[in-house]
Amino acid sequence: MLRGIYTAAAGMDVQQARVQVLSNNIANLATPGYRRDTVTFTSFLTHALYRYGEGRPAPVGRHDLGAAVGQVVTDFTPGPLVNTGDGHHVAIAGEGFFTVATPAGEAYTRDGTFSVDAEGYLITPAGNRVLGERGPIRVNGPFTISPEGAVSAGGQVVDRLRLTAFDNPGALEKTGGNVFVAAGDAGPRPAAGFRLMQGWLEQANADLAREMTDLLAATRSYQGAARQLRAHDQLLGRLVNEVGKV
Amino acid sequence: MYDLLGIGRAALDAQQTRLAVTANNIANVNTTAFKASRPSFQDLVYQELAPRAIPLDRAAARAQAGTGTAVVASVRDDTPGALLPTGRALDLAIEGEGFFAVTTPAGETLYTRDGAFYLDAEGRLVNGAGYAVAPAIALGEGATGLEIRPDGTVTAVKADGATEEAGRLKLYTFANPAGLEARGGNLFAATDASGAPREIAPGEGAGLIRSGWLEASNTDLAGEMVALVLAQRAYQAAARTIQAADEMWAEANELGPR
Repeated sequence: MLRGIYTAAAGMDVQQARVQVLSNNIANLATPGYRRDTVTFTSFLTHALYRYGEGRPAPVGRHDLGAAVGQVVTDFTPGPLVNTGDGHHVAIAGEGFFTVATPAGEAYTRDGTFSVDAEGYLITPAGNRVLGERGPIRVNGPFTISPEGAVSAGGQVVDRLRLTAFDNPGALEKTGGNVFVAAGDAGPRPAAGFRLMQGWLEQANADLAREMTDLLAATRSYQGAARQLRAHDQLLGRLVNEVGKV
Repeated sequence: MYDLLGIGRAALDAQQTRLAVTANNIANVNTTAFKASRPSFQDLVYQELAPRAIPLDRAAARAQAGTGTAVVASVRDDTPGALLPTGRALDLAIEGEGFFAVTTPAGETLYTRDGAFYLDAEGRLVNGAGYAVAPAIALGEGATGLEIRPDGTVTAVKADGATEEAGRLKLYTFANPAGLEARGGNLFAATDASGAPREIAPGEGAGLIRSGWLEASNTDLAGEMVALVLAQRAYQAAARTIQAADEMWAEANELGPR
């Protein structure tokens, strides 16, 4: 009976993690290049049940002791591209990430909201410099970006944007600030199949209708698990107080 | 449960900032040489689920959940506005890059693209607030008119038709004009983020000066209206996540001993 209480509680915890991930997707609807997360579930502590008493144990079946979070998976489907008409905005149509230099090392982003810092370098809104093939890109003012990634300023090509693609994007980790960092087995390589669009910005790939539906399902599942817990509680109460009473 | 509420709150704050920025852009649709701003959103740090008593599959490679969103920067769009004819010789528009400089009575130099200038009692060129244009330009005595050429040369015209050069307007450019600090009154101050001003004569690297024209606000009204709708709806969605967290919390409270 106590086991049932913990099974129901595990269900509540797991739904809470799911609501957290969904709330974060909804909160980042306006974050350019944001990639939505999804939670996968798995069963927890599977037990084999046996029947005893007739000489030797006979298998009855399997029994799960509740649900657990399997993984938080990032969905790398591209988001819609929106025309902003601002020359500082660059969107990637196709594969790859912009490579930026952060204080913690190289990081990758699909957010092409760029500006120019006081020293003339191309930076992201967080102030990280955007990397080209020859390091940070210095434009010193207005710039143009060709579909192939060549950055021109003052009438001449300054550098080419370094776009990085990954053989295993699942190994990318979010660190906040709209960037991903690559773990050991991500398999970075120069991106090939892309076209850059200046004056466009990639939106988040979170879809409000889907996130809201999932949010509804998650809160109801949470309620269901809570009711289940209460039912176990009532049964336990009856067991303790009423069994054996004459 | 606190983290769920925190995510919703962060999203409400961010959308509220977006509303404020959008409202300010719309309010300045008729402000001379106004530059619209756009907020930039980013996601916040990610937390491991493991230390938070959430059951995890042992094989879980990554189980991190985000904590919301924030506006990291509100970036000014330095695209020039349309030039509108006014016919007044002292209305100056910059066609291209650059800012005019003015000196405040306190001696500080501020920058503006609002070229609606006037003459004060001493014949000096000043802006609407009475700040002298830098470098100072004054018409000599007896001047009855003036002419400003695209290269910034100011010529005073005397009553007898004789002309006299009164000075030349200068323009100032910055590596990152979006980093200038807005001071209100269409004025900006140089900051570490904008870089130091570079003095350039009009037509020699910076823009040209058009006398008889003013630069309009670059607010795109249709775009701002769409941003307003988006901000409102995203605000609503964030409020829903708070409501969901609240319902869950109420459900959990029901579980306690009665």
